Parts: sequence; structure tokens; C-alpha cells
Amino acid sequence: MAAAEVPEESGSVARLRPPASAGRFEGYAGLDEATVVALAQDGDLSAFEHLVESYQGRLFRLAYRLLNDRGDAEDVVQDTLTAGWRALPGLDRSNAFGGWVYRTATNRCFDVLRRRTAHPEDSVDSAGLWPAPDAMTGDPHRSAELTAQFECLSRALSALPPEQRACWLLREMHDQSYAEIGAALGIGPGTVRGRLARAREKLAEAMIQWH
Amino acid sequence: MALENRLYRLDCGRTVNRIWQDMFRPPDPHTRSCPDCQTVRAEMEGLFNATAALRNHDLRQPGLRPPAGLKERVLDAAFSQVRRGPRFSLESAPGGTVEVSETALAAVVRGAARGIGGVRARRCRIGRVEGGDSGLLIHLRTAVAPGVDICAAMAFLRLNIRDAVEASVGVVPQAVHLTVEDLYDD
Repeated sequence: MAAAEVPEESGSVARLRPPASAGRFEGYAGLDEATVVALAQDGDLSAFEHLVESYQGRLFRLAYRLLNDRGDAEDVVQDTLTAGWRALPGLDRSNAFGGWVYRTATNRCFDVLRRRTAHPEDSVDSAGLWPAPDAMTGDPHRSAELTAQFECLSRALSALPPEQRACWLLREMHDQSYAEIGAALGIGPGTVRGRLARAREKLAEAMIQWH
Repeated sequence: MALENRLYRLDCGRTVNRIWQDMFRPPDPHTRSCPDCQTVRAEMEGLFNATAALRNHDLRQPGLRPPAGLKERVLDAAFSQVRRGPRFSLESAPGGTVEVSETALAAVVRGAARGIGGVRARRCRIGRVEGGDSGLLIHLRTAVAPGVDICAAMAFLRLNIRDAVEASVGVVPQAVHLTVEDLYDD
């Protein structure tokens, strides 16, 4: 009923929002990102939906691998993208959105890790982090090998200091440049290079031991 | 461990980073003849393979996709904070006025740009001319495709915007400032 969609009666303005992808969302697929960001900066919610669709998976994988916990990763991504909507009008350059969300998500992950250090009783969802990769191969022997490889890499990654882990994930899993990683973490390219080298050294040695 | 002492540069002059970046291709002639490079390459092979497998796994693993509800929650939050922007009261006819929001007017401006090949509208700002009575000041940033005659395209765009705004709210903008801020290449 139309009356139920009046915000005061439904108790939620969200019920008035058109369903996801019901608007011009598909029409943004052919546009460069800076143009879509510019539209979102001027308040176009469908353009913002396109950005959410584009970034939520990447940010979720980053947060998941940094935090080893699905619930915490979801919270980080949701908070980051929601804050992104509010931050959009203030971004100087339309092509700065990607860097902004990566920086914000990484910093929020660090906040979560700091809180965990203060409250070590908080558990993490480590059991679900490395599901068996049966879907990747029909060969049981290869699947077992991959699982063992992942577990080895998982342990080595978890043992890295968070700053090194973030550097490594941003570089190797997200193709970020040294400059982009530096901007995300608030450090210079030389520091990025050093952290990456140390992370790679520790991970490589862990994998040598596995072999 | 062997890698530890060769964090940055090997005796042959190559860096570990360079060797890592070359891992995805077969060894070049230098590597084939350099024992140091061969050793480091062999030491990093396990990590290289595991990294590639992990990346592939994470991209394909359904469990590593965010839940469908996450996007909905983000958009609901954004919708509850829709930026409506300022509204303008325009004297469009003797004795009558039209009130229009900046967002709605910006959509008209963007629509005028959409019909011009090789031009994309980016941020649009609309204000009043300082000291003017009811003059509208439109500032649109744009991106153009390589090879576009920028002067001709901007002149055409300016006319299009004037016509579209007049047709929409009955007021001819006093000034239309256009900025080309980028080239796009799809």
C-alpha cells in the first residue's frame, strides 16, 4: 500500500529506495571510473551503486585476509563504503575514490586488530579462512596439495606484522603500485619497498620449509 | 636462510624484487648463467606458486564474496543521507517563479552533454552570479576522448546546455564555464 511507504508510517525511509540495479545502474558499465565518481560526487545514487558493486568484493577480500574474520571484514567494508558516500563530495579529484576506500578500509582493519590486541579474548573465524579448494581442481591429490599450500601460507601470513601483511596483500593480491600502497598506509615508497621485501622473505622461507 | 642476507641486491647486481617480478616468465639468459639468481629464484618458487594459487582461489571462491545484503545496507544508508543540495528560485516569467534544486538542474546539464560524442560530463556546480539579479552560473567539468576537437566540442556543448536549461526552467544561464580536466580512453 502506498500509505505504508510514507516514511513516518513505515518507520524506515529505506523502504522508499528503489531496488538495487533498478535504475540506470547498468548504464555506467561503459563509463570510466572518474566519470562515475563525478556523478556520485554530485549525489547520483545509481552511480554510487556502481562504485559499491565495483569495490565491495575487492575490499572484502582485503579485509578478510587482514582480519581472518568474516564478520569483522563485512563490518569494515560496510563502514568504509557508507563513509565513502559521505566523503565523495569532498574528494578533490574524481580519480581519488579508489585510493580513498583502500586507505580507509586498511586503516579500519588496523583499528580492529588494535582492539583485538587490547581484548585478546575476542575470537577469530580462522577455521573458515581456507576452505578446501576442491572446486579448483578435480584431482584429489592436487586439491590436498593446494590445501596444504594455503595453510602454510596462511600461517606465515598471520605471523607477519599487520603492516607487512597489508603491504603484501595490497601488492600481490590487489595489484596496487608502491605509490598507492604508500598512500593507503601513510608511508613513503621506500618504506613500502622495505616492508614488502621483508614480508616476501618471511613468506618465501615458510614456503621453502613446506617444500 | 639464504634470502635473509640478500634482501635487496645480489652480488650480480640484480635485486630480489627484480627476480620476483620476473618469476612469471621463463629465466632470461642472465638468470640461466647466474648461480645467485638461480638460487633465489628457486627459493621463491614455492611462494610464487602459492601466491598465484591463493589469488586465483580468492577470486573464485564464493565464500570470499561479500554477502548480498552488504550492498543493500550501504545503499540504504546512502539513500537516507541523499544530498539534495541547494535550491534556486528563478524568475522564469513575469510575475512567476520556478524553484529548482541544484541536483535536478545538474541532471539537465548532464543530459545536454550526453548527446555529444566524445564528451563526458563530470562534476557540475551551479550557483548565482555575484551581484546579479537572477543569473545562473553553471560550471561543468568534462572529460573528452582523444582526437576530439575540444574547441568545437565545448562551443557546441555550451549551446546545448543553454538550450536545455532554457527549455527546462525557462531561464537562459548567464554564464556556462566548461573545463576539460581529463582524456578518457575506453
